[in-house]
Amino acid sequence: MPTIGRFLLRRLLVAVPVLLGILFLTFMLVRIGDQDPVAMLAGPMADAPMLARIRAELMLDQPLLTQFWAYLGRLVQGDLGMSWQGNAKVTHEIATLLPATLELVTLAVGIGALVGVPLGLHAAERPNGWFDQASRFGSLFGFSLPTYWLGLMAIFIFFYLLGWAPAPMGRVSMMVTPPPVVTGSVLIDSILAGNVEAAWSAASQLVLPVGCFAIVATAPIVKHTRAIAIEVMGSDYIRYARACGFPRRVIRRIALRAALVPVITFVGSEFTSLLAAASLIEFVFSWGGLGHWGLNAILLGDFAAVQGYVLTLAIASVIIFALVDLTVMLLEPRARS
Amino acid sequence: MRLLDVQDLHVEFAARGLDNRVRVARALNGVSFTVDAGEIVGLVGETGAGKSLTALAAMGLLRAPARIPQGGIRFEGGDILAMSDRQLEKIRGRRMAMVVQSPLTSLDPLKRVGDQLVRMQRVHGTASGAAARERAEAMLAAVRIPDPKRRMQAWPHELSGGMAQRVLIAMALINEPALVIADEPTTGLDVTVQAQVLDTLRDLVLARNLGALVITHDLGVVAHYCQRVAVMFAGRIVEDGPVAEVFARPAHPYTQALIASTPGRIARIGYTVTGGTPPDLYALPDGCLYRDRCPRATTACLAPPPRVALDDSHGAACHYAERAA
Ligand SMILES: Nc1ncnc2c1ncn2[C@@H]1O[C@H](COP(=O)(O)OP(=O)(O)OP(=O)(O)O)[C@@H](O)[C@H]1O
Ligand code: SF4
Ligand SMILES: [Mg+2]
Repeated sequence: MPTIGRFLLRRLLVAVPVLLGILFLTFMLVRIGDQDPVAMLAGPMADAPMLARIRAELMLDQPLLTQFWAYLGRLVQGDLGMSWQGNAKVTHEIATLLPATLELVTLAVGIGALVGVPLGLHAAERPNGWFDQASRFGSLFGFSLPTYWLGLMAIFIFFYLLGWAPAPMGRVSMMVTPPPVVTGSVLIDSILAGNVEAAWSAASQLVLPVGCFAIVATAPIVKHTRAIAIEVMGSDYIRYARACGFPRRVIRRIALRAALVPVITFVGSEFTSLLAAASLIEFVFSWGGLGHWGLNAILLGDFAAVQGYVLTLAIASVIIFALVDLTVMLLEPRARS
Repeated sequence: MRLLDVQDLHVEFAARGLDNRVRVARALNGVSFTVDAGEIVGLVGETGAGKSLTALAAMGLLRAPARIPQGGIRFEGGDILAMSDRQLEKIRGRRMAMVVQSPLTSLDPLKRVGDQLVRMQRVHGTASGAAARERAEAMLAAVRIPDPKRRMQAWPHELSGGMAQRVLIAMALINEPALVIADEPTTGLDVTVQAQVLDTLRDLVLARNLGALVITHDLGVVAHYCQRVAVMFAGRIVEDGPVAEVFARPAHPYTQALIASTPGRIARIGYTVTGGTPPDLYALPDGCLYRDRCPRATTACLAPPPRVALDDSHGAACHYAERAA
C-alpha cells in the first residue's frame, strides 16, 4: 500500500530531528555534571600531564559543540564511541545487552496484556461492582510498590526464605554452559541449541524478574482497559446498537472491536516506558541487560555509553510507536484516510 | 388495537445524595398517548420535558437508575414493560425502530455502511447474504442516497450529517418495522437538509403505512409533517389532538404560549419558551405543574388538572381548558 510507505517516510522525517534533539540534550547533560571520567580512567597514580593527555585524547578539552559535531560525524558511520566501563565499543555492548532487556520487557508486557486486558474488560462490565472494586484494589499494589522493592521482596521470600527460586545472578546459572548466541534471548537460544539444562536454567532465572515486572506492567493495563471499555460502552454507537435490538453477544463484539485500537496503543506506550524502567529491576536481579548497563553508565559518568543508551531507548520508542500506528491503520478506517 | 399505546406512564430516578438521603427525580408524571398505523405523531416540548425518556421507555430501553413505578406501554398488543430482554431484542430494530439524533456517532465507526445494513437484517433474521446486500442497496436508494452502490462501501466517517441521517433511516426501515420513533432526527443539520431528510422520512412512512413518533423542538416540523401532536411539559402531555385543531384552538396555556412565541408557522422552542424555568423534578408541587408560569392560574390549580376532552380527539390537561379553547 502506498499509504504505508508514505506514512513510514513521514515518520522517519519527524523522527530524525527528534532523535537529534534528544541526543544533543543527553550529550550536554552528561558533560555539565560534575563527573570527571578522566580522573577515574587515569587511576589514582596519574599525574597532571597524563590527565591532560587523556583529556585531549577524549577531546574533552575541546568546546562542547566541537565535541558534539565530532560525535555526530562518527555516529553517521555507525560508531557510537567507546564505553569506558567495559573498554568495549558502545555498539557492541548495545547489541549484546539489548536482547536481555527486550526479553524481560516483552515477557512482562506480554503477561501484563494477557492478564490485564481481560481483567480490565471484566471490571468494566459492572463499574463499581465487587470485581471492579477488587481489581482496582489489586492494581493499587502494582502502582504503589516501587519496582526495586518488589524485586528485593521477591528475592527475600522466594530465594532466601523458601529457596524456590535460583540466586538472582543473571540470566542463566553459572553452572551450565550457555548456548551460542542466535537471538540474544538465552531461553530461546538454549531451545534452539537443544540444550535442555540451559533452557531450564534460563527459564527459572526469568521467573522472578519477569513476575515482578509483570505486576508493574499489569496494573496500568487493567486501569486503562477498564476506562477504555467503559467509555466504549457509554458511546453513542453502543447505545444505538441496543436500540437496534442487537443481542448482548453482538454488542460485546462491537465493543471489543472498538476497544482494540486504544488498548493496543496503550500497551505500546507501556512497552516503551517499561523499556526505560527496566534498569532498576535488572539491577536488583543482576540481569546484565541494557538497563543495568545504562544505569551503571550514568552512575560512572561513562559518557558514550549514556548517549548510546538514551539513543537506543529513543529509537526503540520511535519504532514501537510506528508499529503501533501501523497496526492502528490496519484496524481503524478513520486512520487510513 | 393501537399500534403504540402509552398510558399514564411514570418514570423516576432515585439517586443517593451526598447527605446519603435518597432523592427521587420524577421525570415522567403520567404520560398518555397513542400512535396508529399510517399516522405521524409529533411530540413537542422544551428541553427536559421528558421526550427522549418517553421514547426510550416505549422501546423498552430504560435501565437503572430509571424506574417505572406506574403506567403501561403496549405495542402491537404486547406489554413492553412485562417483556424480557430477549423478547425486547426481537422487537427493537425489527417491529419498532429508532432514528436517533446523532447519526455520525451512532453508526458503528468500524463497519462499512453496507455491512451495517446487512448486519441489521442478519441479526433479526429477515435476510442474509446476497439478498441482504441487495435489499440494503435498494434501501439506500429509497432514502434518496445518490450512488447507493458506492455508498455501500463507505465508512461512517466519510458521510455528511445528512447522509448519515439517511443511512439511519434506511437502518430503521430495512426490516420493515410497524413503528418508527425519531428523536430529533434533524438536530444539527442545516435547514435545507433538514427538510429533505424529513420529506424522505414522511414519504417512506406514509407509503408503507407505518406509524411514526417524531420528537422535535420545532413546531414548524409538527405543522409540516405530523397529523397529530402531543405537547409535553414537565413529564406530562398537557395537550394532544389533530395538528390543525391544536394549532387553531390551543386550549392549554403552555401550548398557547408556544404558538404565540412562534413567528409565522415556523417555531423553534429554545431552552425556555416564554421565560420561566421548568419545575424542579426533585420537588414537584402538587396540582398543576405549569402553575408557576401560568397567567391563568387560580387556587383551583392547586389540584391536579384532569385531561379535559374538547372533542373526541382533542384534549388538554387544564382546569380551564374548555373556557380557553
Ligand atoms: N439519570 C438521570 N437521573 C436524573 N434525572 C434524569 C436522568 N436522566 C434524565 N433525567 C431527567 O429526565 C428529564 C427528561 O429528560 P429527557 O432527555 O427525556 O428530556 P427531553 O425532553 O428529551 O429534552 P431534550 O429536548 O433536551 O432532548 C430531564 O429533566 C432530565 O434531567
Ligand atoms: S390548570 Fe391552572 S395552572 Fe395549570 S395550566 Fe390550567 S389554568 Fe394554568
Ligand atoms: Mg431529548
